[in-house]
Amino acid sequence: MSFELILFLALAGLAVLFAVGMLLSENAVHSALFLIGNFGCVAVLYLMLEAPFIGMVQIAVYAGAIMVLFLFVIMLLGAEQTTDTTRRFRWLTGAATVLAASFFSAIVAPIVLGGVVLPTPVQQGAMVRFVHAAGIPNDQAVNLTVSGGSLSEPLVLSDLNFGDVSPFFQLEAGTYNALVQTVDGAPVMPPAQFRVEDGTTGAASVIVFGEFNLDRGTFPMLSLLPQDFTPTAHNSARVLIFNAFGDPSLGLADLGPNQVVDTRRRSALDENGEPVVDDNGQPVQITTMDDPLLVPFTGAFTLSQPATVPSGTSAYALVDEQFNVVKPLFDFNLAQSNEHLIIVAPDYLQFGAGPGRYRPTVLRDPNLSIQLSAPFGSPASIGQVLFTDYLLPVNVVGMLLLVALVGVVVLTRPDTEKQDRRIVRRRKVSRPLTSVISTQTGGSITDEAPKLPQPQSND
Amino acid sequence: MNFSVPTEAFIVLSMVLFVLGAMGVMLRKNAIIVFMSVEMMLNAANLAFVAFARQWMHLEGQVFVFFVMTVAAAEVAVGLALIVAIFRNRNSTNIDALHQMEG
Amino acid sequence: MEAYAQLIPLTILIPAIGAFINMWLGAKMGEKLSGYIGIGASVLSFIVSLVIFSYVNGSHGGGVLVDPPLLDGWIAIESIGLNIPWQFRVDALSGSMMLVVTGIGSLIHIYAFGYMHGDPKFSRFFVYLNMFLVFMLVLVTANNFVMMFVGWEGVGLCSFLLIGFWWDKKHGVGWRNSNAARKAVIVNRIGDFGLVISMFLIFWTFGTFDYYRSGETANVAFAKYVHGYAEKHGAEGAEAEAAAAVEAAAAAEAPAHGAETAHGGGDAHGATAGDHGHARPALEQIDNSLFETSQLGVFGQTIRLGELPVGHPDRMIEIGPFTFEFGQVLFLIVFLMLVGVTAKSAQIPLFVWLPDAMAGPTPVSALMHAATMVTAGVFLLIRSNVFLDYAPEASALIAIVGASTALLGGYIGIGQWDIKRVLAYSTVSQLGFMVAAIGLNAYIPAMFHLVTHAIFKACLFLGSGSVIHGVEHGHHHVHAHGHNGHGDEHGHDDHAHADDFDPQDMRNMGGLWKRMPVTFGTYLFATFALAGLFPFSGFWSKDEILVKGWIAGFDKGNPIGFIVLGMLLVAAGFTAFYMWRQIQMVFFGEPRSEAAANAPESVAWMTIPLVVLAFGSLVGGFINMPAPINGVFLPHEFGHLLESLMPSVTAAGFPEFNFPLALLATAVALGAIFFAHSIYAGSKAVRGSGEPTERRDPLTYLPSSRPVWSLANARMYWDEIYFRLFENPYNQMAKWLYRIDWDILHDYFHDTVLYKGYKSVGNLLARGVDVNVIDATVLGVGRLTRAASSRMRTLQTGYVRTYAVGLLLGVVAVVVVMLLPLIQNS
Repeated sequence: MSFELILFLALAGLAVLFAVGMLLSENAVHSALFLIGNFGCVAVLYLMLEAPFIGMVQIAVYAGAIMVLFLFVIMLLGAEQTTDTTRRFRWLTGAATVLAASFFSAIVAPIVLGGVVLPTPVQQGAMVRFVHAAGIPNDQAVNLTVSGGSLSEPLVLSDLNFGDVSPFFQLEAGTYNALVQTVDGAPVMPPAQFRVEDGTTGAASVIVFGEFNLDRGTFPMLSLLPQDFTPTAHNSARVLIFNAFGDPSLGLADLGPNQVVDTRRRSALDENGEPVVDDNGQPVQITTMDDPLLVPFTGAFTLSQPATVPSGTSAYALVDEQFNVVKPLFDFNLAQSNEHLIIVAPDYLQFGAGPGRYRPTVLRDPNLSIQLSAPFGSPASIGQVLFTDYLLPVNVVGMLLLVALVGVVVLTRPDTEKQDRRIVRRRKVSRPLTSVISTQTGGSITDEAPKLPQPQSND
Repeated sequence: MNFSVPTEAFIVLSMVLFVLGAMGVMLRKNAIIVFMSVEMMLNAANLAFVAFARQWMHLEGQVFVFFVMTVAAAEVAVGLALIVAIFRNRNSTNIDALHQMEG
Repeated sequence: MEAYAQLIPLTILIPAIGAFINMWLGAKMGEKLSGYIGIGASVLSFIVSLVIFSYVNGSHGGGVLVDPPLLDGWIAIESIGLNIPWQFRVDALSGSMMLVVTGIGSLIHIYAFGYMHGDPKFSRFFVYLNMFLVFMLVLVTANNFVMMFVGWEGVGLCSFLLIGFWWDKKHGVGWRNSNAARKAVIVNRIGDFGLVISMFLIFWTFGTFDYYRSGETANVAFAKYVHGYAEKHGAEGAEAEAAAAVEAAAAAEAPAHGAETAHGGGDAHGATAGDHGHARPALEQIDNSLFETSQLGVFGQTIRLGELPVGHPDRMIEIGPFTFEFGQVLFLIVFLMLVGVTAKSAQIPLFVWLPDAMAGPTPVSALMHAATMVTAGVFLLIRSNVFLDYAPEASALIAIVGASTALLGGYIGIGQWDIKRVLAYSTVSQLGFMVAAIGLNAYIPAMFHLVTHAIFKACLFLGSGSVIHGVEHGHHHVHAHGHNGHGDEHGHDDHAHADDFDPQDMRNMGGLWKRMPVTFGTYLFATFALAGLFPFSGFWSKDEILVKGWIAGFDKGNPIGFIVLGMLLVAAGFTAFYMWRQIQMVFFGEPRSEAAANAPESVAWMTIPLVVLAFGSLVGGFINMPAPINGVFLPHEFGHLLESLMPSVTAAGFPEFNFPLALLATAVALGAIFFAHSIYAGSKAVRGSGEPTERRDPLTYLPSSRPVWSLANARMYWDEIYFRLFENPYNQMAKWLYRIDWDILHDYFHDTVLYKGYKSVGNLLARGVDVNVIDATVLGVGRLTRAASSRMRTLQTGYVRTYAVGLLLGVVAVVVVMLLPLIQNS
């Protein structure tokens, strides 16, 4: 018995008690108050069901506005008590009870007996995308063939250029084979494998990297980087750095408005705050950086820990451990509520006839940023759905409310004179019509009209 | 996914509330209380919706509840206006007094 | 200068505006304003045409395609690659035709202002005339067959409207003007059928309707010569040198205008290099080598295909399941085109409508049925000269048809009493001359004759109109007692006569030369031109045709040449004969009626155009003289202009003046005139007395000449033969079909089968089915419903709570049905 279960049982019992109270109380005001209690219990249940927004609306609209309206009307009319004069349909009480019981059992019985198996949402593998982060001489494009796992037929990404990022693919759990070929079909690396775990709700990126002429053959060629979609706080973004360039380790520094790395040399201090001295007794001088280091240094071919950083457009730089700028990122936008995967890849440059060299570059594909979603059931997420997928229904419901407003005004208007006149006019029209019909049909309809027995009023 | 409170429990509770509301509709003669019972039935249905939404991890269930609440608000306004209008004519909120539609 | 060519839409727009103004406002504006608008539109159009022609003349035949705004993609069906643009072509042929149409048209507008004075439908007449100008100009300036056909049908429409202008006027026994108008339309329908089929064949064969494409050179050899790429070879080196000298002089004289020189010959669009006058176009820009065969217009393609050896795969044209050789297809095209031409240009066998078309007002006869519209067929054949070059058999057929028509028209002309009918047959005859010339590949003589004939025949018709006008006024003068002379108050017109007096009958005339001196003088000039007397224009143009026949016969040994030459010489004799007969009957001798004795000279509005045209009849031949005159008129100037469109002319060269033949032709004409003079001179012109219809021709007094004249007078029974062969069988068949329709279809089928059958079936349905089955069913359902409802409505208690219970009952039922399987499964 967890706390939640106890809480549920308590609330459920309370809700049923309130409901029964509403049903049985003679005074309408009491009924209304019982109902408010019932609604309150249900609101708490909504909170337990990961629906905080609905819970809030329940309290505000139902328990608040609607029930106040009820109370207002009851008190306005003075209709707390009704004089029950009807003697007909005494059997209804029994019939209603039997029907309600059978209805209840018809639905609850399958549940209790286990006939209804509620499916649980399958957490299927992960969203996977593929990134070509390999600097190849001559900028060769590659074809990536992914097979195995749950794929019935291979997934082929053709003509993937350096820096290209594929859209996300939903891959179920399993081991997948990846084959990277040139567009001509020649394999550029040995077949590799990656594994997608089940139950991960986030995303993953398979990065293809390394030099395809296999000269730097010790590099891993393929890497699966886990990411997640969980939201960050407002005005912040999450940044991951994947260092596909190799040495040195790289970190992300926010350079601030002056757009240069502010470093200074100072004496190194140990844990106790004492200056560290070397063997010669000289204090050890180290270089420190004044600018904030947003993402800690990440070694070659590893993914940094996700760092939550303030969002916004600023001058950032990828710096090595000596705070040398490896790659400046001026006017770089870290959009809020996004996760940014910064992939530092080797870009092959060749000048003239000589051998080329590699230069670190940052892949700028927009697909590398993920829009993070709001928590399930939060006002933000419901608002997002309402104002995107359900915009038209929202408008229609708004119109409905407006019409209801007008309808209320019309209904409660104490103007009966016009209605009477309208009835009179209608009769004038209908009389000749019946006479026309009767002449056409030879008068048989009016002649044979049955004399209906008039209902006896029991009042 | 395992929930500490199973969805079935919510469904059973929702059924209980629904049936109680239905009995209120069938047995009570005060129009206002009948109306309140209708509201309770709507609430029971909403509860089931939200429970299923959690089960499926689909927001659509909660969105639908939102719409049900909105429509219910409109319905309450119009319904209460009707009750007021009827009360003006009959000076009673007894629904058994209204049987002019008898065949 | 080329910008002048862009004015060409104006020539059409101005008469169109004139026609529209008169159409909507003419009735309110009154005669004078309405006439001024009509005349103004025509004259303005003429001025614009002159400007355009000045460009054509200055650029060796021009050859510019003009796309007017708004009408560019006139008929365009993208999916099948069909694009027929509304495109004008300014070249020597269209330019000269425009001049003829608008020039003579303007004079006739002016004339009509006087002639139609007092007519209640005055403004409508000018609407039609302006509309005619519009369509005729569309016809001659088109760059494709479809647009040409629009004009072709448009002038046909105007012809119909104007022949039937006085639709109610009787024109012989049982024959009203509206019949004549319908006859014209029906006969032309036959021809149009041929022309349309011909156009379909053209499109099928060439895949386009365009005459020429933008940048295409019509006559490559000529263009090469003009631009100095080739020496002109052929029969007339001296002439070529002369032309080259002029060319050089023009180039030297006006280097700033070198653009004109560069533009000449080919289409100027392609010759961008010449824009600033410092370069002539490159050879490949004028020899069409930049074009694929399928990119060329129909004529360019014809030349390409025609140069291929017979049986070449490109020359095999598939039409449906058949495969034809290109030569065969071309023969069919030209033959079917000839069918259209025989109708429009009044050739055997479809000429019969033209004499009847004289029922229209005389200006209309002059403008449409003599000078311009009827020459549309000739124009079309000249425009299609490339087709004819490569279809020798069809050319021979055309030559024979034309020569026969010339002979037949001339022969029938000697036996007519109606002054306009004589001229109508004369027109048929002269059109035959032109068609025969085309058949001999003598396109330039044909066009030359077209121009000169347009002038002098217009003059003759207008003169005859003046005579009719005068005689009629004389008639009114005699009969309008108490009125002050002129019959203008009557509405002068030559229609709506209460009495039987026919002002067109030459038997009612005579001695008019004193009464109408101006008319007489101009008439005489035009008669000499028509007869082909030196130095009148007809002499030069007719002589060129005869020379081509001579060359074809004697130089090339073509028997067709001999036949045509012989027939045309005889026809020329007939021409001179009937014209002199007419002169004698109308202007000489004693007046044979009071009307003739009192005929006044026409007003200046009418005589001034006559004088202008008579002058034109005299000097019109100078545009294409065989030898230079005074350095003002260069030899074959008109021909060199037209040569830009006619490759065969460049190949064959221009014929030299054939002195013996000219002498022979003159002798024939003079002999015929003297012969006619001996018969008709003085008071011998018409014999007998009493009613005009009882008077007789002198020829009837000789037993040997009597059948000849009678046959001509009966118009060779041509109409009667048509009546027997076509009209009567058609009518009989119609009567027979009428009987089938009325007796069998109506009486038996409608009355007996349909009516009675319908009635019996209706009775069966009404009694058996309707009353016993349908009514019973419907009433039964009604009763059942009523009975059931009276029981079931007690279910509606009116108590809400019972409804709620019912509802829940239903819900429980549904839920049980839905969830029962789950319970069973568990």
